[in-house]
Amino acid sequence: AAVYEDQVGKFDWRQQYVGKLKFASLEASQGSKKLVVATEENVVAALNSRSGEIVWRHVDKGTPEGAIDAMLIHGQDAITVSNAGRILRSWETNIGGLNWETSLDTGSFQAAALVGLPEAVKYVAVLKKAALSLHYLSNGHQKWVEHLPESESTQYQLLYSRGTGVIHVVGIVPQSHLNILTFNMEDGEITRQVRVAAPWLGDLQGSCGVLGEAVLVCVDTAARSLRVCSLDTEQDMRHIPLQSLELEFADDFQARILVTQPSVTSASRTQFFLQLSPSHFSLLQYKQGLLSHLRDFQQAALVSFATTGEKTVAAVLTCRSELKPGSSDGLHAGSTLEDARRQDSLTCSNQTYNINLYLVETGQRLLDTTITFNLEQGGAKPQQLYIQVFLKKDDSVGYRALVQTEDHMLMFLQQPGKVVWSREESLAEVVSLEMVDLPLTGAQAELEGEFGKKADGLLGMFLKRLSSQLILLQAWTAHLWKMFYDARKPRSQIKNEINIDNLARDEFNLQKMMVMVTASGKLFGIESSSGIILWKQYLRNVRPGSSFKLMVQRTTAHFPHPPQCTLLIKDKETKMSFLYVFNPIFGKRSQVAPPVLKRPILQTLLLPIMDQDYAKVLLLIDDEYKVTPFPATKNVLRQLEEIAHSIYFYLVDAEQGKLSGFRLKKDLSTEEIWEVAIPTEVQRIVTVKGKRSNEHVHSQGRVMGDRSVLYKSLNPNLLAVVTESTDTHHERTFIGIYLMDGVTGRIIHSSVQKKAKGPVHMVHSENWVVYQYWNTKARRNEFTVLELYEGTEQYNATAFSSLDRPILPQVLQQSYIFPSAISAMEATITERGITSRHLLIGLPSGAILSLPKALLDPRRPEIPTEQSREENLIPYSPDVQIHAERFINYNQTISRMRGIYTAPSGLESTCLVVAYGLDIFQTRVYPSKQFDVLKDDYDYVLISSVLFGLVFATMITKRLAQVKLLNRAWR
Amino acid sequence: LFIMYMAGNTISIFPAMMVCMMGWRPLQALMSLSATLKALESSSRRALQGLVFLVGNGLGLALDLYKCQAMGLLPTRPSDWLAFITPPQRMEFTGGGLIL
Repeated sequence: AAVYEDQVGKFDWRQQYVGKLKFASLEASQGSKKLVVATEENVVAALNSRSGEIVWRHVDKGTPEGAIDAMLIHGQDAITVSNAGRILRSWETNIGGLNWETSLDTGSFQAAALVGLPEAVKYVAVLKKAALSLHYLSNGHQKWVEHLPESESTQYQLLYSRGTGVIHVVGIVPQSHLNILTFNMEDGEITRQVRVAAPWLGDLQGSCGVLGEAVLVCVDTAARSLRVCSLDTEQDMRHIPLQSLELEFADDFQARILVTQPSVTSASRTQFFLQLSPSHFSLLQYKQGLLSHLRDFQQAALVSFATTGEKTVAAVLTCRSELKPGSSDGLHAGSTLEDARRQDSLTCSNQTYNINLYLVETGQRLLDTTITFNLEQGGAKPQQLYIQVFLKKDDSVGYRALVQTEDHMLMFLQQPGKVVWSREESLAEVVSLEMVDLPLTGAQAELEGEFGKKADGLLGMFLKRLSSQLILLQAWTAHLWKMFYDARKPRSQIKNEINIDNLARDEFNLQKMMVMVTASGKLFGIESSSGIILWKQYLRNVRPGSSFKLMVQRTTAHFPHPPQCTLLIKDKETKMSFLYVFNPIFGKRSQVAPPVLKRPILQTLLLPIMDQDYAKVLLLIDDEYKVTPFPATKNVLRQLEEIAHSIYFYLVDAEQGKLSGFRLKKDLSTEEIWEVAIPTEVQRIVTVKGKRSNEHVHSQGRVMGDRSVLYKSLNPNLLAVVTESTDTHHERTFIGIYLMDGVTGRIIHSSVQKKAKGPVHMVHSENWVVYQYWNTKARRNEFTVLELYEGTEQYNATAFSSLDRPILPQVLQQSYIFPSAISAMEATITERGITSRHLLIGLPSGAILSLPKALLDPRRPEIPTEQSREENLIPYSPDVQIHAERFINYNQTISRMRGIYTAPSGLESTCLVVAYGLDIFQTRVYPSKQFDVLKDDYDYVLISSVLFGLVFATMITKRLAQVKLLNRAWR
Repeated sequence: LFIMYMAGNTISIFPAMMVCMMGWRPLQALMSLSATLKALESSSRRALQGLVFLVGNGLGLALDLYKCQAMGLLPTRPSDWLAFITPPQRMEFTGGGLIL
């Protein structure tokens, strides 16, 4: 399974991602080469600002334990707080090394800030719910920790210091008062404690900020005014009405305040942004008790501050044309969803944005600082803006901007609007994936199309054939000419550029289009052999946490009909679902109108029957158990009526612990025919797996040692259901496995594995089920394999009906010890199912192990006999070992692998593999070696020279023999 | 015959060649039956001699078949036809899963 050194990167690739940004820091100098980011995926990384590549990356746990709460940058060090304020780390940003790490006391994290004296920044302060601690920046040691008074009722949220040797902490008792504490930096003594009445304030975050010489400014949306008080002196909050500045508050919008502190050793700026509505910002100044209005920004999408040297600028991102409320240009029919989002969905009609810089002191616009950039039509709007400002040689201000859009795309922009690089970070969260064959080339399609059309006379057909052959000839000569032309160029210049126009299937169908659905609602079309993103489509209105189901309704085999994929999106909250139909090759939305779904959809079923346009019929079952077919033409309805009696549904309700089966009736309603209850008090259903519909099984049985046949029980309707016990005590915990017929609900096999715990990973294919669990008694990971056989006689060799199965299959079972936990598991699949199967096991270390299924075979004998040797059965040994040479991804580890997808290729020996998680990795595997392909190092020259030599020798000897015969005749 | 016995029932190139030869000889002889009969025309017990020739060659063939059977070269078991069994046709379609 491993590759040779010269095969590295030949047919595999890996793409690494960091995820959606949470914090980012751009260095404030022109020559800086990196930006440090911390993301929602719990990754701390540095990106090269020239190319966008990852310089280094550290991946923490994927659970909330690894969540990064704050990131601070000081010089070459990045300080992160993670695991809900438990762990404080310092990273060296140049190479990504860990400087130090300390664990903090428990307590929910509130804020962190760097603290320093005017000469140097020496400490980092961490504010928890009940304590404030100060740590040395050099080694992380704790200088002091102080408990906060009245921490039960007060929420301490704000931390401020300005190099004066004191630290201010502001806490709030909602709708009552503020608690302002002042700590001495040296010994942590509370030097002052002030209580300020603030009955109008609910939360400090966002609505308050600290300006200049420790002046707390808060916005009171209800009274439409600002409230100001000093942290240093004891006084009540001053009330400044905003009507005088002619500022309009938007209805039901919580106004926000944005302040900036260029350096922790000096005071904050006295200027701040006040956000009055989603698109209305105003730059204000509060200096020496005077509030002045500097500039108003209508139609601004985002604002940000940045500082270099003495200059602090405000960057404002505006839409070039007017912002309009969520235009329903109808990306999908789900109108209810759009209504729900109208509130905050202001889109820019032509997706052209400007970034401008303004000097904060005056609100004056800086000349020549406009960046104009375009986002894709119908795409996402910008969500975050980071600015990197630097002084040019002529003392003017230059800058670069990092923009993150709603669809998790990162763009790095340079003046005057050049996109230096962009990253598609939504690919860190792939949720669903399908591989679609590429279309045939034009010439091939022409030939294919000829057979597809109706015959129109002998002569017509003949002429058509001639014309298509001519086209083929033309294509061939063009190809020859190109080869000849390329041959003269040096090899390095020839690039087989792949773009959306010259996409064509290769000889063995090894290149495919990967259609990826990401959690953010963005769809991607990626060419599988190179990993190039060929198209992307952002579905607005897809809320986070929706569930997706991707189905291929029509493949590329039916030229001239375009291929068609359907994505079912179901919103978790509103339970409403809608369909998005698109062409998987070009990413375009299909002309076909999907049905409007009025009821929430529970499940779908893709039938093998097709309509007259060769689109497979998709059945959608809603919460009233009614069925909606798509496409719903007359032809389809007629076909459905004919075969309705043989169509069944099963629905698994994990919350109620109920499995139920339904039968389709002729009028497209359903009736329940069976129900299996699994009591939720004892166990809950975690996974249900059927078989893959495109799976071919070549051999119907296994040859035994005595040359009889053990027939496999290949029930296409079989389901494997895994349950876990609700009791997680290690003595009483168990997992249950049920093999069930999806048509009749008959339980074919059930077993309970005592002292076993999830998470259970399972593969269900052919006549076997492999699952992995944690054995709490022996404290190890174990595999169990179940195989089903009919016995030496087949009950009905011509047709399989679940309703007519008098004999239960024999179930064989064996268990093995596996030395590692696993994060994903999948079986290889090939075109005809002749190649032996391997299990691809994703390990938490990031490697993918290719394990032959023959090692997990319940017929492995404990004592080898003559017959088992005849069958090539390996004697049973309880442990399955991990051999490094079975890793298919050598050193290309895949961080936080979530799934493995396999697809057959045109070659029987070859299976395409895509592993996804934080990274995406694509390769090919050959479970039975490449038996149908000549080796890469096959010696064509030797073979052909020997062949020619022999032919030549034959000719010479023939001639010699003739001469000899002639001579003898003369004699 | 002794050589046949000594050759054993394993399949390798020499036993296979021997079995082939053993089968080919009687077949060849049977093909040339008419020629043999012509040579026997002068004989008085022509019919009997012809019959003996036929039976002898038949025995040789039978022995060869038996040898083939012993070596497992004849497709007489169900396992030999396994690759030609087509998968049974599916009568019902089912689908679904966990509620989305």
